[in-house]
Amino acid sequence: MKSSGDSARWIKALQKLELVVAIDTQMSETAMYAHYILPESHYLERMDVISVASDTISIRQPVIKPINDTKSGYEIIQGLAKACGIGEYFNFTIEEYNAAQLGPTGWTLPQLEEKGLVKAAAIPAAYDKLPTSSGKAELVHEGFAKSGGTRVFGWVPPKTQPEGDKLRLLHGHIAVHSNGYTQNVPALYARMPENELWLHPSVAGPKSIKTGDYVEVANEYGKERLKALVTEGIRADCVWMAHGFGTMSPDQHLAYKKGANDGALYPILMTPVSAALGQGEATVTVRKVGG
Amino acid sequence: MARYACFMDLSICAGCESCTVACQNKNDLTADIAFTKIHRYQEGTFPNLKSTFVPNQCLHCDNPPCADVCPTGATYKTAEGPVQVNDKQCIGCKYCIAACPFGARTYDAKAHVVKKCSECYDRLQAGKTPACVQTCITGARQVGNLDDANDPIHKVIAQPNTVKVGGTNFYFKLPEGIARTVLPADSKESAVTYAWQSILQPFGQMALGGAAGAVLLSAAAFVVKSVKKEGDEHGDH
Amino acid sequence: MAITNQVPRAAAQARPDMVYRFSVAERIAHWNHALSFIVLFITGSALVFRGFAALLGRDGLLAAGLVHRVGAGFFTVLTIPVLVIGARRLAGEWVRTSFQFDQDDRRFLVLFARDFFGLKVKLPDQGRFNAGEKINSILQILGWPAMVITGWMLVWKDAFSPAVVQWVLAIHSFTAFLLGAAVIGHIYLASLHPHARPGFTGMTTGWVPAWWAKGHYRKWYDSATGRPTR
Repeated sequence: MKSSGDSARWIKALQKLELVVAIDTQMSETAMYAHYILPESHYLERMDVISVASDTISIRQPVIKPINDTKSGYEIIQGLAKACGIGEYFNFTIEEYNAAQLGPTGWTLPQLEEKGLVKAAAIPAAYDKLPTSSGKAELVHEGFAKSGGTRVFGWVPPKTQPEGDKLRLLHGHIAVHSNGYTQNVPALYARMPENELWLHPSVAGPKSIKTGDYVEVANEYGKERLKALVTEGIRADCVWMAHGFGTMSPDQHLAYKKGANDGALYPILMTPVSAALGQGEATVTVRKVGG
Repeated sequence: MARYACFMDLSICAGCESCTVACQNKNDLTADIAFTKIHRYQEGTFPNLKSTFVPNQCLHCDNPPCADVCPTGATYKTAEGPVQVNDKQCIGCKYCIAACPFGARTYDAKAHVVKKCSECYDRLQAGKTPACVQTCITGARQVGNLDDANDPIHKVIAQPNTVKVGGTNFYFKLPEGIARTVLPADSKESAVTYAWQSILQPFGQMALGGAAGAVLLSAAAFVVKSVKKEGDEHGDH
Repeated sequence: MAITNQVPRAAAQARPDMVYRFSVAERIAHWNHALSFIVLFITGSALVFRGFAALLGRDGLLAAGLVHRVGAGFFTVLTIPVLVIGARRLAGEWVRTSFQFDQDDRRFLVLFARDFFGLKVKLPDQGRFNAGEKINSILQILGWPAMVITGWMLVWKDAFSPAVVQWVLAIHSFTAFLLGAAVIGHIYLASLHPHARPGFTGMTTGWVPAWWAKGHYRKWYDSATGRPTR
């Protein structure tokens, strides 16, 4: 809800649905609007599917037993499948699944569990035998046109451009928090309880905005309030904030209403063909609302 | 014996503050107390900007002023380098907070004790690395034994752009274009420490000792006189 | 008991061998200052001498710190109001004359060492306070605000920068050394020294033997008794 743009529209959409079931490790905004919540174990409590990146295989495994009555994501899916009468497709444990995945590499699950991370001999990709009609990587493709684009990827101008008082809204990630999921962790909340709006001195000056002042950031999608950080570290026609703040869920006692949610200020926008989330397609106005 | 050196590569520090949190966990600290903090430093004007993360913590001075001013000896320097605080001896007078050149000490109101980074001396002695070093996601933090010729720390601190904070065994590798000035200044005796240790304290003790000595001497003189007087059977008035 | 600096006339007539030297207010102020200082000096020493600190241990030092703060309250608050309310004229006179040294005073300072160690010497005539007491007075008059200001700054040291706190601490400790030295000498003279101790009653009953006052403070004795001795 915070990550897909136009948060207000998502809330309305969720409220219209007959049945919303959320699987989550905490009371996120989505879980808040769900009719049922299937509580998932925290990552330190559960076994996940092994992860492969290039020649590196790693595993996320439980270091403690679940503190509350929660299940791992796979156990939840398995249970739902059984209830739906398709349990035979999930007739194995996560350990068996991981062991099967690991099989061809020569490593065993106990070995991976002990080391946490192992290297496997990577099989080089056969770039001359790609499953395309030409057998090569294709930069021109009829499929792109059929999916609503052009045969060749082109640049599409953003929906809106900074002009006068309208500044381009940018957002990004910071190393202290993971997306919108750690703002309520006490130790991390203490490091960074809220995000700030970065704005250039040439913009802040005329509006007499100083670092630490509260500003309101607004556009046609929403209105958010957060502290200002006047810095040379941003273009004069842009403002920036860290993503994942402005939590709307009161059950996240620490993070609730701290900082601003950039997702409330973007349109819901999917790029043609690839269906990637379109971001950075919004401009905002900024005004001082408190010292 | 070991002689520990710490190193931090600011050119790869991601500013994630995992070190801060790992340290808090290791030392059972509440979230408002941090023995190592990471600050963002930035200079220049857009688009010519320079930026780095800079830590703020105890650098374990060779001659720690905090230990000098500690009235109880709760703070002390170990032979291996790490400066320690014995909570059981600390009375929370905060003299060390005033004396620390790095602002690296924190008063824990609940315990009425002043705390700081111990360089995880206990872990070092057990052959482990400090919590901040172990947790560092980019490997920016390292620790090593200078007395061990085979320790990789020697290569680490010999890297270009690496500076040592004088009067400590702390080394920092600076990102390109970032000046030494972003780091804490060298640890050296402050004017007030010199004034107190070399002038005021000796002079004050001399005054006190002189007064006490004069009093004893005077008292002795009168005792001698009265003994003599008893012997002579006549006094002077 | 009325706080007064008036010589009780009837009492004066009844005790011709005694002279009234210190008013009630002066005595109260003196003892408040003296006792609180001694408490402060002893408890404060615990943080200056490491052996003393080790002897007390953590709990002992924390208790000493508490006592030090209570003592500081008395030291700070009581002395001046008592003097202002009860002995304004005498106290003003004391402060003013403490900084005035005449020919006799200067000679007194040179010769006093002989008297201190019991050697025979004829000391010059002195006013209400001799030159040595004036030195002690100057130390107390200047040292009191120095100790009070730096002391309370140390209680609220979080409000000041570390560099300021360090200097304040050095000044506080150094001034304590000087005052301590003066106080050691003062206590010895007033309570043990054979030539000076007859005056001790001045700070208890207010009265001192007339012969002693005449010998030690001839100028004051003459004006106070209206009995010029020469």
